[in-house]
Amino acid sequence: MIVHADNVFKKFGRFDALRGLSFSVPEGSAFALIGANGAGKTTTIKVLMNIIAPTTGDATVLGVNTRAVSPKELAQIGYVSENQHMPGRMTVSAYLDYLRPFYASWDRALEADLLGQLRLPPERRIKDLSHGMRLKMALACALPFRPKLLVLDEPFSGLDPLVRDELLERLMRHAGEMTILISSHELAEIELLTTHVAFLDGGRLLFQEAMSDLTARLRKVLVTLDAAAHAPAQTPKEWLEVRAVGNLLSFVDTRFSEQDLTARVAAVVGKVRHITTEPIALRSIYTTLARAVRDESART
Amino acid sequence: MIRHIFRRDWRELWPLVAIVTAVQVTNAALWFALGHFREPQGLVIVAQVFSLTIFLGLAVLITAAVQLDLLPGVSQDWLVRPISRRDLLCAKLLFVLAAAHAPMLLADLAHGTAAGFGLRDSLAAALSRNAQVLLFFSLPVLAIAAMTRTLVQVVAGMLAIWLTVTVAIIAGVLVRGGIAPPFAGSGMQWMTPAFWSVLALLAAVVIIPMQYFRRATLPGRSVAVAAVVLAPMLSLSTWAPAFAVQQWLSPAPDTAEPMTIAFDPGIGRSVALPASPSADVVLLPLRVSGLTAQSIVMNDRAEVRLVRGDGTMLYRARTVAGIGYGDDFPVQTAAGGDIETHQRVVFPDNVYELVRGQSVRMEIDYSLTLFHMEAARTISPVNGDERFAELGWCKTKIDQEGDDVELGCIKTGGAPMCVSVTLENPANGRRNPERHYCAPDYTPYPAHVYPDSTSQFGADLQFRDSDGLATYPVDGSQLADAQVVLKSYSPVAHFTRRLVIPEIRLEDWAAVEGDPQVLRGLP
Repeated sequence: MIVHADNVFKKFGRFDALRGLSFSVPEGSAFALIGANGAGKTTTIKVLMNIIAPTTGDATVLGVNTRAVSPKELAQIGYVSENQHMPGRMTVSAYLDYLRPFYASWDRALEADLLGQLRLPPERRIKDLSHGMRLKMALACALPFRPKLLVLDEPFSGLDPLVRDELLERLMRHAGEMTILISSHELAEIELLTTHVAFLDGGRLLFQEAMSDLTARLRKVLVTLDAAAHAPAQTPKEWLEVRAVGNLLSFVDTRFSEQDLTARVAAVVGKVRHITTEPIALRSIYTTLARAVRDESART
Repeated sequence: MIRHIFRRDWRELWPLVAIVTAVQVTNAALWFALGHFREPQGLVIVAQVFSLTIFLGLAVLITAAVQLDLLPGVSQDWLVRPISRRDLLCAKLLFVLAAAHAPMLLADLAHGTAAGFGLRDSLAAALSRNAQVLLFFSLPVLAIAAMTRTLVQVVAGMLAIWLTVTVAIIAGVLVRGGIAPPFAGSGMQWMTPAFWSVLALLAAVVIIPMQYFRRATLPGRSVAVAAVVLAPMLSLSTWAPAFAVQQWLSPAPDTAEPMTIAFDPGIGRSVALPASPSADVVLLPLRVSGLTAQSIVMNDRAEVRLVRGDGTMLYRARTVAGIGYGDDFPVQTAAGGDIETHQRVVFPDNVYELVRGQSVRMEIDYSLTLFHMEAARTISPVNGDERFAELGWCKTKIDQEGDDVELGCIKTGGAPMCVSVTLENPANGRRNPERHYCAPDYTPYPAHVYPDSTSQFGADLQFRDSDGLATYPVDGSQLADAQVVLKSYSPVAHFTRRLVIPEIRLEDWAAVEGDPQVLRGLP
């Protein structure tokens, strides 16, 4: 595992930002941290980058405890964040000139390619760049040394669709070369990139799973009944967002299996005329699970 | 990577470096141009502004360099770069040395050598000043800059520190019933800035690594607050332990051992200097013995106690009110041995009226400093131009009114603590009254940072009274044959003595009305 967190807690005063967070990022994966605002995504990333220290618990990056992450490890980690403060008075080219000697593996050809592709004006001061341009700049500073791990904290936040696509395209081009850890609200975009996903809520991990397993496990199920449909009084726990309209019953099955689906549905709702299933986009998976968690919290 | 970071800082900040360097060079040039007599007067004010602007410039430059790589916060790009914290700190220190202190050193060196002082003396003075500014100003500023995000925050922080310490000291004065802090105005007042400087340095030494290696801004600020809270504490100290420290620092404590002070009624009463209307003055005849030749004894502080026969304490206070050095115990001798003098004791009216006719026991505890002559040199009173190893480069001229000899000296490092100057005619042995310029400062290390690494001192020697009321033994007609005798004195021992007068009636020794003249012990 290139990143591993084990029961990490982080307190800010009385506020618990992380509450026993544990997860692992496999090497070579594109791992998405997903969660609502305040779920602890950015805190997690800052702990992993040794920008802040965990209150208790341990995390490792590249096999090194995050508290001991040194320039040696940072030379192999690229980082892009919506809140990254680069020295505003420096020009784009001056800052790249400054950064280059810190990385033994800096690829000048790749740097030039990135500058051209991302259309970054070399002589413009960083403070004069737009928000989108600054994110491009951050990416242009994070990729030329071919990092083993690329950490992206809300990289698409506040970007117009064109810039978002440019960044995404660039990321996808490099996705196979490195491990990517990304936190984002832009689930539609990162779905194209993500191989693994972790859901955070209130500083805790709800679950982590390979994207392929998740999309295979979660399906939207549409059941056509002979009679008018009613939401069953007792639905299985694995059914979420159960709705009945006319003679149609729909729900999200979180333990989808093609083989026994008809039997499982029939056991709950009786005679079934027809069943169809649809794969669910990451965004829908997130909103479904987030609502379920919220409803569960409200009940307890 | 230290050089790489340093070069980036330099590229980013060179215009500011150029401005601060220009201020430093202009400061040195102005003080050089003002010369021995600090003329023209208008330029002195400009030079003083430049001298203070240097410190503002240093603060701005250091803050700018440190805050290029902000330490507080979690969003700075450098935090995720493979930049060694040690290298970053070293690069900032290198920048402070190269961009702030090297120009100061060179400007000081240039001023010293341009004024004709040797390279060694000039370099020693420049290094001494630089070291003090670095340790007690630049590093603390670096520490403050490391805990803040903007220059405004740095300025606000420094103002808050100044305000807090000032308010605490004023509060201390009010608590003491309006009495100034114990060292104020004395030769030991160096202890207060030295204490502050050491506190600032210690805080900086703790905060800087704390910020650069742990980015512990909150604990760092707590250390700063603790230092600020401790800063006024020295003013709560009492005189005796502080003077004990000063005694321990005496260069030659044994030299004062033979000196005794005795009450000697045979000397008789003396006339008074004008006293405050609400107080009554007693002039005690004293015989001071055991002095070596060419010495001065300064009374740093004297506390008088009046005790009734039954042991009741009637009065306890300093011999004179106020801070600083009064002429309440003037002792100077050229020949050494015994001298007679009068100790002035000022009593509040009500106390004096209460005990004036009573026979009481009087005790005076003295804290004294013995000065020995360091050098005695002569220079022509008209257009004199001499260089002295101990006194620096001195010049004389006759003032515009034609009634004074003006003496002006420039010296690397600090000015002499105590000098006496007189005009004498060796041909006929006549001497005009000797004038003393003593500003006791017992700092045990070379402490001179303002206005640059050189200092200026001087004296005016009157030889003609334009009103025609006074005549001088050496007058204008003798100037061609006369010489200015310049002596410098340095402290050799700090010591205490207790004078006990078993029975005394104050009214017997009340000051006699007449022309002011208490300097009877002077030759």
